[in-house]
Amino acid sequence: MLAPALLAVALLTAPASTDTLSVIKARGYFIWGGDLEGGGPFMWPDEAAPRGLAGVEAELAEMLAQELSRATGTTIVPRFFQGQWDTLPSILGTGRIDMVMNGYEWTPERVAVVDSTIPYYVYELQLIVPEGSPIASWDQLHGGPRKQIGVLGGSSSETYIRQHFTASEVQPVLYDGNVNAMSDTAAGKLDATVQDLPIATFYHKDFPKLRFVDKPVEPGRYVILVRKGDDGLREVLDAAIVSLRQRGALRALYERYDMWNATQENPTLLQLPKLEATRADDSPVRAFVAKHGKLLLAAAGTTILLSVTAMPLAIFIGMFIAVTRLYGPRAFVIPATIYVEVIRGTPLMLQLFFIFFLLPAVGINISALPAAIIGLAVNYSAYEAEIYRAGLQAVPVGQMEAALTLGMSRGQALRRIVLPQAARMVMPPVTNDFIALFKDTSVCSVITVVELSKRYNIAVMNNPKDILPLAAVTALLYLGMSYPLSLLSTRMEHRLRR
Amino acid sequence: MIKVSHLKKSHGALGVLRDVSVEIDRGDVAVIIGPSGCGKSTFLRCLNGLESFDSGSVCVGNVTLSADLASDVYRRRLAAMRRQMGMVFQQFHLFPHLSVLGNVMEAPLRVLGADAKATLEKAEQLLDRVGVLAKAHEKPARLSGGEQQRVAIARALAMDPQVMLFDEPTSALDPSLMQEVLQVLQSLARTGQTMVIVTHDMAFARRIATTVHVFGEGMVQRSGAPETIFCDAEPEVMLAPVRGNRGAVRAAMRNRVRRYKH
Repeated sequence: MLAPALLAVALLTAPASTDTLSVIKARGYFIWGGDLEGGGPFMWPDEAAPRGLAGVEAELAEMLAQELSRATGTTIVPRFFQGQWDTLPSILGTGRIDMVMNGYEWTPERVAVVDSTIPYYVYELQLIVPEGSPIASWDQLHGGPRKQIGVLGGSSSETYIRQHFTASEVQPVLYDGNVNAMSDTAAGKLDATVQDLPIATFYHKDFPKLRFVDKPVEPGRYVILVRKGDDGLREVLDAAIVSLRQRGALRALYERYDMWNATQENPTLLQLPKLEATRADDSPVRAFVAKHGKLLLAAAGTTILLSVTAMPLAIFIGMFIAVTRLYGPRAFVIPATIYVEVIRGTPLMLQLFFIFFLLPAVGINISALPAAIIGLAVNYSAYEAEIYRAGLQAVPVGQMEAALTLGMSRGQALRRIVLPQAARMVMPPVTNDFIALFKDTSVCSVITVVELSKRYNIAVMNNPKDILPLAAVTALLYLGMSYPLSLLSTRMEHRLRR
Repeated sequence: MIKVSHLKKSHGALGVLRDVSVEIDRGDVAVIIGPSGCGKSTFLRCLNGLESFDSGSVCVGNVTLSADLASDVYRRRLAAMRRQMGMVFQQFHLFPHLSVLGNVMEAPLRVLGADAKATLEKAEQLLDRVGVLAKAHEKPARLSGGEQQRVAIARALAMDPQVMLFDEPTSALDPSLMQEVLQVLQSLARTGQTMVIVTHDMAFARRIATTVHVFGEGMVQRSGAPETIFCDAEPEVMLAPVRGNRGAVRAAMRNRVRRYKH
């Protein structure tokens, strides 16, 4: 939570102090940022390619470097910098990289914080449905039952869906990666997905069961981002793009990747739109609340829902596993031990992926929210099991013996005498885990659950200007939720100890 | 009431109980004495199945437990046997998360499914009888050792046991607190309660026992009324270490008998 806020400070307080272009000339290379996780057609690791990087943007970087070399009379080569996609503009602000080129679209909000070149590509949004779907056009998304549409969280697809359809017509399901949204559509888990056309085209071969329907809509411009005020670099890059386009080099490149279409020659789309003079907001606070308030609160609600359902489940499963390991029949002890070791030894994110993306392959379909709750509960149950095992072992053996001599069965003695004492002992570590789980809910965004962290990331991506207040409000919301939890458990501890 | 025949138990090569046969009649206060390590506590724990034994049998009332029973039969009989016996431990083992009253009521309510109101009345009577009714709503940790042990006795009595087993009931208490517990045991004996008490406190044994069994080397060395036992053997005989000094008890007793004759 703190990291983005710090990045934001860097982003907002570090305009180009030195002329980046002369720095690049002096060192002989420029550093461009991108995220390999985004995949095709933009870039991916490839041992055979120059500098180990293949994809349309990797090749474009080489071409730009050649243009820059010619324009400046010095040899300049590209150098790639790997960063998480949504943090790339912030990394740019810190001065670690010279530019960002990774399918970033031009938006008025974005260019309020960074500067942008002219477009190097014009993309459109494509509606994609599974084979045999009744949906044949955008219009058919109107009316009828509510349809689930997979989109990349925070992308223009999400914005388009939210602007053109009501919440009762279409429910956007937010994904972290394009491929997962497409595979879930192909598997019939979603009614449709909306994707940037070049991405959809590139991955179509992997999902033969997907159908592209209706015309692509909502053209947008992919641009290169540079630091605010870095005009020297921006102008050289603009000139390079114009030169590549005029020589037909861009067209040849895009044709090789199956990305060329008539839209690329639309003269208005190849220019940046004029920025309308933004009318002075009557109150920035009111505008902020109107734009983010409801969404952030709803996301906070999801965070709470995940925590308060997953933790009791985790405690219950954990207790069961601990009792099995200590008192169970031998045949169950080994499986219980394996359970603990496997669950503890693998990351939560992989477990969530397994439940949400792999179980459907064997016919078990669990929707996102229950899948997230189950994933969190299972993951934490392994830790709770170990805590409970320690707690149970700390109860003196005489307690069990006293209960047995009073005629209780082992089960009764466990339930009534041993477990309640163990529960008191493990209160502090369990409370600790509850707060940890509470924050781990953010991992659930990988399976399309939009909780507070995810909502924050999306909001920042679409409104980079608001990053500081957004970070502050999000942090406060987290604190506002976890502090009462701490208070509550402290009080419970006191009551139980009396 | 209780008939133990040829009870044997060993931990590996070490014979803890080598061949124990004891009979205890209804209304008896049987006190088991002997040096530490002689197997007297193990013997008591075998009576209610807290420890298993290798061979021989234990018969309490009409239930017989032997080592060679099938496990489900063994379990059923053990449950029946435990229902006839209450046990009091050296370290009390009260349930710390329950109040004094809760400790006494827990088993009747959960095991017998007894009526709550009747159970409460009976629990209060029992606490009154052992003299801790005033602390009925306290947690055990707030009670003195003597009080805790008296609550433990009330807790066991709440199940109306035919036999009460006591494992060193006063060893964890200082002398003044010991006195309180002793009085409770004496009043219990006067009501005709059958009791088996393991102790190494001779004075205590002498005051309360109807029969004394002297354990040594995993066997019953002597049995008899307290007057005869305590006239014959000197206290150091009872306390002679057994481990690493095999036969010491027997030798000491032989010497004593010889001296007495001469």
